[in-house]
Amino acid sequence: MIDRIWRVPAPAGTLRRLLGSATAALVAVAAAGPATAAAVTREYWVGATPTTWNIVPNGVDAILGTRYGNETILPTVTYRRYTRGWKKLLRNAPARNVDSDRIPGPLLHARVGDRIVVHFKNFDTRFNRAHSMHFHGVSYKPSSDGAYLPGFSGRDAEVKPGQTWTYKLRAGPQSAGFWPYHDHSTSMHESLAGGMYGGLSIRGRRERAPDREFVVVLAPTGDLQTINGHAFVGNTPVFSARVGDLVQWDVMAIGSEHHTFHVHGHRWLEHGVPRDTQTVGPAESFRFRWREDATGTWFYHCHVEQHMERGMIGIYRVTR
Amino acid sequence: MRCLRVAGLLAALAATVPGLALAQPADDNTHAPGEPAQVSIGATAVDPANIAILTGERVEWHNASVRDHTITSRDGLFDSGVIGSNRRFSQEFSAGGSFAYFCRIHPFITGTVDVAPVLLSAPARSFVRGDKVVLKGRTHPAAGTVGIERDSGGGFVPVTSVPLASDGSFSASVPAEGPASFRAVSGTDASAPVRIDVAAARVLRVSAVRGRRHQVVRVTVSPPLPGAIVRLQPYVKHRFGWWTTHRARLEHGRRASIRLPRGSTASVRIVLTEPDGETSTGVRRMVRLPG
Repeated sequence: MIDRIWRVPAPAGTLRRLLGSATAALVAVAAAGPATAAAVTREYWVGATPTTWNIVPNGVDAILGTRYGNETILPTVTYRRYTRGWKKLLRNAPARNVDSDRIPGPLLHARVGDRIVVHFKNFDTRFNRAHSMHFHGVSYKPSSDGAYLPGFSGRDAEVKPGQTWTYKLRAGPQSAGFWPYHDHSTSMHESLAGGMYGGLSIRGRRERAPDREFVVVLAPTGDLQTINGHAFVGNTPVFSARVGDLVQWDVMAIGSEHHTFHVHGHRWLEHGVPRDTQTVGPAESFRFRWREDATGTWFYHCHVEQHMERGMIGIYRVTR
Repeated sequence: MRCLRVAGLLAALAATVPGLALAQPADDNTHAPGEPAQVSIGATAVDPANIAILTGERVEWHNASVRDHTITSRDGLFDSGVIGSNRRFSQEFSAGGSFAYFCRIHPFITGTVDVAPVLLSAPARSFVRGDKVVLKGRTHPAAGTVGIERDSGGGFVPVTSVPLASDGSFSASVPAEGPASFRAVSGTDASAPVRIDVAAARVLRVSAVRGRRHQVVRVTVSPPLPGAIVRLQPYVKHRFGWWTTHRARLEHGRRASIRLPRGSTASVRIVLTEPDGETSTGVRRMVRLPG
């Protein structure tokens, strides 16, 4: 029942040996999912968990040479993945470092026709705020909407610290794609500013899994413009692929601004039209694929210049 | 007298351990205004054993054990009589001072109530020069503000003034420049002084040894920093700087070990952070891995 295994490209020499032990554990954790296209029920265990987050862990905007210190550190609450019954905290995504693990929340995979059951627990003892999960792109009853409306919504929209809720979703025929989920409770504004969002990646019934899947969430964090909660090259995700890989990019925006997502040296098709830049507004999302054929170290970034200068830029490395 | 001996022992201990702030009695300011501070009586001890309250406030003891107890002043000022299981006793303290008490049935159960018009406490942790010391306290809210004074050897001098919250609590952040005593002053009243010892700098000692299957980086920190985390960072070109690959929490705030696979001979950086794992203390050290 192995759907896909997150493949982590082997870094070279000394660095590979240093990074090796952490990487091996991640592959084991992430290698879960059904192998066939038959509809199944997929269960996820997610918590709203307090953490301390550094937007610029290497302390520098390497392009402009600006240094940053402890002012880029903020206490926050993020979605984290757990084992069944929230017994053990897991990494949200395979990563070979300890700083890219909490924003965005876990990438939830499914296929069209699947039932998705998300067990949610609020561990927010830091701010003692209610939280919820609201999912785009899937079907559900109002009791799984997770959106607060006084007098109408129920416990799904206001899960208090220590409480749990189970969201029951269905990936219908129109669900294939990449979709956001996020807090939609009374604390939505603070939660989204602190990185409380994630993505649903839903494949068609007969759609093959990509060799690489890159999640890009464009959102403001603190005073900076971030990708997956980090700002500036080196801090934002360093995506890697090999020539011949089927690469999938999952892109979404959170916040109140529009972004123009651009990848250097590559194009993709949107409704049959080649593109290398695509606009994405608040809570909008899209995905695209290509068969990799261009070696090099490439930029990906938001092309709104003020956003790019404030950190919304990263690098993508392709090797043979 | 027992209470005085314990206090003297603590003071002596603090004097011999650089960077150790003398523990203060717990200021139970969690009780609502007008409500008594709470002390729980267990089978063998009271919790908290030492409590600090403002002049005029009450303390209420709740017998949470199945045994009978008494709360009896060593100076004969109050005596609860026998307090049965799940029963309560309260006492108002209208005058300042330190009031030791015990249980007549179980004399090993002891406690103190410290009563003052202004309360002040500091974190029970170590400090080095440049740290920020957060002093917290409480007084009667009508005062409006309190002054914080420091004595570095030449007598108390004012360093800052902070406003009071509606419940009379206050918080002041002062730089740790050297060993000093602090007190909070409200009108003609002053808190008991709080002693802060400050080391010149926090020292990070790092060594790396090669084992049969792994190499191990050992870190020791002096003075200790409880709950702190050390990060191991190689320089990574595509990360444009030092990038954390491993992290470990210090045991007892003093030491940590990080196990790495054999083979690497890189120079790595060890960075000491606050307990949140992110905020750098500014203390770092390089070490070369043996391979």
